[in-house]
Amino acid sequence: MKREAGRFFWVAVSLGLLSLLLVGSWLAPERLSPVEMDAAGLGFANAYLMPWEYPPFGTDERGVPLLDYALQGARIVTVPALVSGVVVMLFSVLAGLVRCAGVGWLDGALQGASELVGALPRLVVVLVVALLLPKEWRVLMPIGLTWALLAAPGAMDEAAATAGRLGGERFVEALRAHGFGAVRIYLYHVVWLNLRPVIVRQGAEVMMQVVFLEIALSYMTVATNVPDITHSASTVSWAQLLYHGYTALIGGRDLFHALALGLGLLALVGAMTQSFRLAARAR
Amino acid sequence: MNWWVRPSLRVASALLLPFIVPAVIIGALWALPGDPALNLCSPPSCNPEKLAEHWGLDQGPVVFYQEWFAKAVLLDFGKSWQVLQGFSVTELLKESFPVTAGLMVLSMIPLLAASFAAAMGAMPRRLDIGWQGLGLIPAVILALFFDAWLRITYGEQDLTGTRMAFGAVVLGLADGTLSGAIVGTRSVLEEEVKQRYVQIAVMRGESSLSNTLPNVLPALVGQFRARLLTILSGAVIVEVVLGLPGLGSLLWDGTLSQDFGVVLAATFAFSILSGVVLLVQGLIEVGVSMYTRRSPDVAMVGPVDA
Amino acid sequence: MSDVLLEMNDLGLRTHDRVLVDGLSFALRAGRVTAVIGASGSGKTISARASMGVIDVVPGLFKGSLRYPEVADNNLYEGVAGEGEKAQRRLMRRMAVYRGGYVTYSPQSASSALNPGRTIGRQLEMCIARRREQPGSVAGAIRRVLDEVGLPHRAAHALPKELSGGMAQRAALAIAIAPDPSILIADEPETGLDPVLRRIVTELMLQVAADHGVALMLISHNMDTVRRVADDVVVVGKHVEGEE
Repeated sequence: MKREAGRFFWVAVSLGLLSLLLVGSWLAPERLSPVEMDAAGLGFANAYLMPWEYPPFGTDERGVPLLDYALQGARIVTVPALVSGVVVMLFSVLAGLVRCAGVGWLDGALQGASELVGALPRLVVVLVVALLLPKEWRVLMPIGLTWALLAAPGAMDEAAATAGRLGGERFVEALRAHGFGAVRIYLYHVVWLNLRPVIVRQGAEVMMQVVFLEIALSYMTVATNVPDITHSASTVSWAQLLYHGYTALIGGRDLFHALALGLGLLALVGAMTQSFRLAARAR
Repeated sequence: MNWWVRPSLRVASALLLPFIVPAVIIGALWALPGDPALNLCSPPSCNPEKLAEHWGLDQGPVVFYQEWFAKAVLLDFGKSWQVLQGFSVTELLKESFPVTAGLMVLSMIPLLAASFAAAMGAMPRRLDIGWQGLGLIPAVILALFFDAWLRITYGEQDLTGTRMAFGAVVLGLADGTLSGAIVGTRSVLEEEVKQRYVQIAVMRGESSLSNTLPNVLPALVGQFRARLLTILSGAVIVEVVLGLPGLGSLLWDGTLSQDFGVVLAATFAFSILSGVVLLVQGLIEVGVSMYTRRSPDVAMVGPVDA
Repeated sequence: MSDVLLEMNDLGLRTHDRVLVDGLSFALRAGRVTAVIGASGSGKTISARASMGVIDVVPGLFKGSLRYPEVADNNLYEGVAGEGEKAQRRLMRRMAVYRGGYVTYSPQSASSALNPGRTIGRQLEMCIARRREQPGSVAGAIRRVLDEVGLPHRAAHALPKELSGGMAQRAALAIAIAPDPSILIADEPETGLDPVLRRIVTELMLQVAADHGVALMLISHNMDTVRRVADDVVVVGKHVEGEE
């Protein structure tokens, strides 16, 4: 009873945090709020305001609310990260089902493909993909999907190993002997009851990795002053918050609240991942 | 499957990787809709016809690959046309390869030490949560904090050595690398020690480590390989954020400026580094398999009956 | 000269929750078969392991003495009873010199007890290295051991996974006798075997023990086997001398 209550709690937390990101991405403005000059016309109105002066998160050096950054960043990452996570989960389910179905040649082929795909550093492949993408396709979705495809081999290995530990074909045969049909055996017994903890954790981890990948790539573009490769020039990523924080650290500018917000958003994504993992734990 | 098949496949993959990776990139470029030269270089910022003529992009992927690879094995990667216009890509590689290789080696040292300590039981479990917490921090965050600290403390001084050291720390700590090394090594060994044959070996007066080590070595090496690939991946971020002139920075600059020659060369260099990692793993597996198969010279007649 | 090779007196083992063994005493004599019987969970295996110095329950040993009269005069459990895990680990390290040499152990389900990462020949070679007197030719000694247990010489080059169940059982027995032990502890050697193989393995074990003058401690659930082969019977908690 206590265990079920604990699980329900983590399901609520994980879905709540995911909903927060989805709502945030839906509410994100198309463009950042327009900057206003101060009365004297010499500087920006509302610049460098702290969260308690300009709720909820304060403003940047031009008076633009940091809430805009948070919402636009959510719009950039949420859907691609979610799709990437689902893609990895689908691959894992496939690998687990193949192991249970005992399709030897396919199992072998998947293992061989895993070996080759897993041989290269992922970020190198991502950058090559970014190079080859037409400029108008340079958004996070194709990059996230590339990352998911690169993460899939490891996830598939793990899912296949989990299915193997169940007994693979023998497990399926035993359930057939109980009179269960294929759909119930594969979808309920194999996937839902046994693979679920593994595939949900993998999906959540890839979601987190895609978000962190976007932040890394965007931070690098901001830091090296080059055009973004994960979003259009009219939107800002959470990485911009981190860069504001960096300039605060080295230049003494009053933007530590931007750094705090950036780190807080990363922590939120990390917490969401951990919550999914705890919610999907094996019974 | 015979014992030598899997490690041989791994060694073969390692040796073929530098051939396959450029082929896939070149194939992908030609597979995309539109003219490859136009995809890489859109007017007015550059001239696609000139690029196609300079790089031979009008000859088709197979001829392009053959010509490129024939020069690559002689370490001739042509000239950069965007990153450092007219500069030899080979020279760019020669300057950047040691930085990335150095980062890899430096970051491996604490990993090996931590794995060894975990194997010896010298890493208390109560510290795991700390390592795992550190491992959740992405490399970009650690790198930016280190970069800020260096700039505040040292200004604009040239501190490549110090930056490399910090870079190695970031690569070792971030993205779960160190925590994975500790927890992963310990769990592999603990699982193996629980096996019955180990308990029986202890009953025979043998040590559990001498019995388990050859059997767990392939799994440990496999884990290490995955970590090294994560380090190579993270090296791109660390080099760009910390301003280190390594392969990662070169690849980044090449990608952003669509300098195909630089990207191809940098990726080729990365595939060599990855190939070395795979090769070492394959050779260790071959070594372990041969060690496992060691037997005193006793008369053998035909295969053993099942 | 006494032919007692192992003398256990008043063994007491416990966990935090319950007493596992209380007051067990027995002696193993050269050339004799001592059967150890008892209900499941009565402490047979744990007592056998304790007689080799392997106590892996906590707090573990709370009383008792152990002697190997042929090789040492002292009570091997001295300073261990009631002293906890560290003392038991020290005991285990101290007695490692006798395990695998003076006293060996043949486990139940032999195939899972063989090191999957070593050939049978290599495992035999390591066991022969623990003999008090080294043979002139290790390869010759391996061949002789394999002949004794009825395995072909080519089995030396096999990994455990390449052997059948019966061959693995023979290989485990070969590994147990390879060091030329004075005492052989066979823990339920018939478990998991078909009736024919059960008989073969038991007879083999008895033959080998007789040929080498080994004191055989046989842990078994099979009362037919016990009645047929045992010179002495120990019911965990009681000792009954067998009739001549």
